[in-house]
This record gives sequence, C-alpha cells and structure tokens, in this order.
Amino acid sequence: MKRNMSNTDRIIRVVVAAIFIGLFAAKVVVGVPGIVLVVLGVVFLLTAVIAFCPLYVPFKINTNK
Amino acid sequence: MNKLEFQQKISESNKPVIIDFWATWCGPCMMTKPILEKLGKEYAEKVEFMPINADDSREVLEQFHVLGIPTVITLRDGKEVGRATGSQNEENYRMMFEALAEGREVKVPIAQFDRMLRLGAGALFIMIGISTHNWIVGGIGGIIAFMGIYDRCPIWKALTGMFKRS
Repeated sequence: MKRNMSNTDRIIRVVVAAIFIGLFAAKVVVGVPGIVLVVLGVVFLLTAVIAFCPLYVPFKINTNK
Repeated sequence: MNKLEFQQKISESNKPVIIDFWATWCGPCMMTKPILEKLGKEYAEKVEFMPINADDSREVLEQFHVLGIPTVITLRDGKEVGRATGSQNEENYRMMFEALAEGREVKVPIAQFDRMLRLGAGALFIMIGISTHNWIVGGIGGIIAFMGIYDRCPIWKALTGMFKRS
C-alpha cells in the first residue's frame, strides 16, 4: 500500500474527523445523521493515519506530490 | 537514468542496495540527503548507496511505484525489502542501513511526522472522549496515540516477539 496523501491532507482529515466525532459525542448531532458523521469521522481518521485513501486510487488522485 | 541503466547498475552490485529518491525542489529531500550520504559513506563496504534524482529517472520511479519523495527503498538480491516514505531522522536511517548491512529484517521506522500526527490526533480524541464522557471516543484516541509509539513500547515488542516465535 503506497501513500497517496500529503501531510496537509492528513492534518485536515484529522481535524474534520475530530469535528465530526466531537459533534456526535457532544450529542449535537444524534440519530442517523450522527452515525453517518461517526462513520465518516472514523474513515477520515484511519485514512489520515495510514496516509492512504482508497477512493483516490480509481480517480488517480495523489496529493502526496 | 532509465530502467535499463538502473537494472544494470543493480545487477553489477553484489551488495544490498539503498536507493534514495530525491529532487532539488523537494525541501525534505535536501534535508535528508546529507544524512543519507554520510551513512552511505559509513556503510560503503557493506551497502551500496544509490541516490536517484526523481526528475531524471521517471521510469525507475514508476517501476517502484514511488508516489512521493523523499522515499528510501532497500533492496536485497534485487528485491525490495523495505521502504520509508517521508523524511526520517538520522537514527531511523541508520537502523535501515545497519539492518541491511547485517542481513537482518529491515524494519521501516515510523516517520517523525507520522509519530506526531498519531500522538496529536490520539490526544485530541482522548480529550473529546473525556470532555463528553464518551469512552469509546477516548478509547479510539488511545489506540491512535499508541500507534504513534508502539515501536518503542517494550510490552508490545515482547508480545509481538512471542507471536513471531510461535
């Protein structure tokens, strides 16, 4: 698995993930929208940690340049 | 350098090879270059150090699927045995040179930025977890933070060592 994500991209993802999960944890967003936010947050967090976004592959996006 | 020239160079060398993909416009590459050159000289008897300018060697870059630089790739008998993407400190590069020179498994260390990102993200999620009394979020934060230091944790080393032996 090769990196396709720049460090700036990763930082943005961590911040967005924190906001999404924070909104759910603080019960600002609840129910189905809240769960969607959590799932998105976890995906952002995981992809930021491994520096690889599978969605970038079919679109040939690479921010690690 | 094209693919053929590179293959020829690799086949001529009877030592394990460390390739450094760099470019003049890449700031982190210019920071790590002197460190790698120094280590290359230090381990010259046992390891072949091969800096490759990414701009002049697109074919080689494609061959190794290098998407970002600096990237350091270690080869043993022409086969890739380790890869470090992103700048590393001298200690991490030395570990790679040493492992290759001594014929050990090349463990790719965690890059400094990765370590900081994981620790920072982990701390952020732990704080969110504590402030909202959501222990699952706190737990996720703990796991992310641990991913930033697991290679330095003696308990983790002992446990993974046990699994490897069995």
